[in-house]
Amino acid sequence: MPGWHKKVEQAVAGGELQEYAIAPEQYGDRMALFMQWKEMTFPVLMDPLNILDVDKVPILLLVDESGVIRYRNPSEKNLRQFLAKDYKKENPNQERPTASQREVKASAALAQGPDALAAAIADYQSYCQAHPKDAKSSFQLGVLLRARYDSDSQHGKDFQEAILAWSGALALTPSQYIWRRRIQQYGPQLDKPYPFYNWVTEARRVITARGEDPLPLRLEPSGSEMAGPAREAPRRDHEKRYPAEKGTLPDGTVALTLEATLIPHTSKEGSDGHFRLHLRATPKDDYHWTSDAQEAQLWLLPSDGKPKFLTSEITPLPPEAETSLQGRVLEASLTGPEARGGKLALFYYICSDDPPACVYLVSEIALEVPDSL
Amino acid sequence: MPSDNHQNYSQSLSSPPFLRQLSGLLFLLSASAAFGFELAPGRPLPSLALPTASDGQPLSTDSFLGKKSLVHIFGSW
Repeated sequence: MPGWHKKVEQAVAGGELQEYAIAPEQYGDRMALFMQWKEMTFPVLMDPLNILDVDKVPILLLVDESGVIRYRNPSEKNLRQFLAKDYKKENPNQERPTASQREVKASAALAQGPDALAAAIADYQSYCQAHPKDAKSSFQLGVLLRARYDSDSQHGKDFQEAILAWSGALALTPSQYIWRRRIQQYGPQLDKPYPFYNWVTEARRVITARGEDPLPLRLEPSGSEMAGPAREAPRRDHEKRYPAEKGTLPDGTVALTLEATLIPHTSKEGSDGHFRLHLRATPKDDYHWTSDAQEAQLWLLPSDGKPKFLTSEITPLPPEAETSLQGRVLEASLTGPEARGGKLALFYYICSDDPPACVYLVSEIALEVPDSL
Repeated sequence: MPSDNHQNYSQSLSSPPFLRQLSGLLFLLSASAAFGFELAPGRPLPSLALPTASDGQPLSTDSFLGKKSLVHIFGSW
């Protein structure tokens, strides 16, 4: 894409051509950072719901003055022909198709407050229930649910329900690669075609080296979003000792809210039953994270057998903050048989405000594997 | 009581040919929105208002009419 941007620089500067983009991607602020990194200033219209209904990217279009597409994925020769030709005489007035009312409302709701988002989700849920074969609406419902999960008004199962909606849509239209990528973005490494957001680190480094401030992200990419493809599931540390036997540590139910989401491989044939586990831990009232505590530990408690160590990698606190109230994420690879009937145990330090004290706690949550996964 | 669709269909049968063709055209136009867009040479680019990455303010593809455009459809990944 930056290649074509260079190729048309002269035509744009000379006023013959204008340039813009449409991005079927979940987060606009990440795209803004990408554009800053690449030093491109043309407008990018964000289409997280994929209203445009493209099934893959990139696509390049040459569009004439009246909005008629003249070339799709053109060659340089096509570009020269396009710029030289006068299309004004041959344009019959064509009706331009547009979004459905439901899509217009959903698109607006993503930018509005929690009430509009809740109303759009409720509308899509009842529509999808009545029209279970409408794959596009099912995908769009997933986008709205994930947006609410990322907001301050999330419901506990929003992300898992988003994954179910996306998986349902993809099952109906397996050739839709935009929908497939939305699941893979958060999914197991075994299913990744490439890393999705590992460029963020490099972008920030380059922008800072230029003497600019990188544009902020409201939500840092998760470990899965940064991770690259893998041929084998990551090895676990079998030497790690289980931190404490049941009942020997205070229960952390009062301190943390845990939300577990299982993201499946998008191809049943290649999956080998692997899930990516995404666990978000958010402090409850009167509790906050502390930056000087030792790492958290996440363990799987299978329905039968010994506890298995999963990970101690937890999303870091923002560097400027001593304490934080934000949700932090731990991710790990799990197989279906391990997850079914199992529980998770999270060991962590956390501090309370009243009375002021930092404590080591354990919180447990049962794993629920939705039937359709 | 007949459904709305049934009523529309009955009306179209008793309408002059021109109106029947028009109702068929309107059906096709609404169907194009429901079943996706064709981004192919000779077809119009859809009219969509979407938030921009830079400030989240809605911007319509209509605002680019009147001048030739290069449109990238891409993801940052």
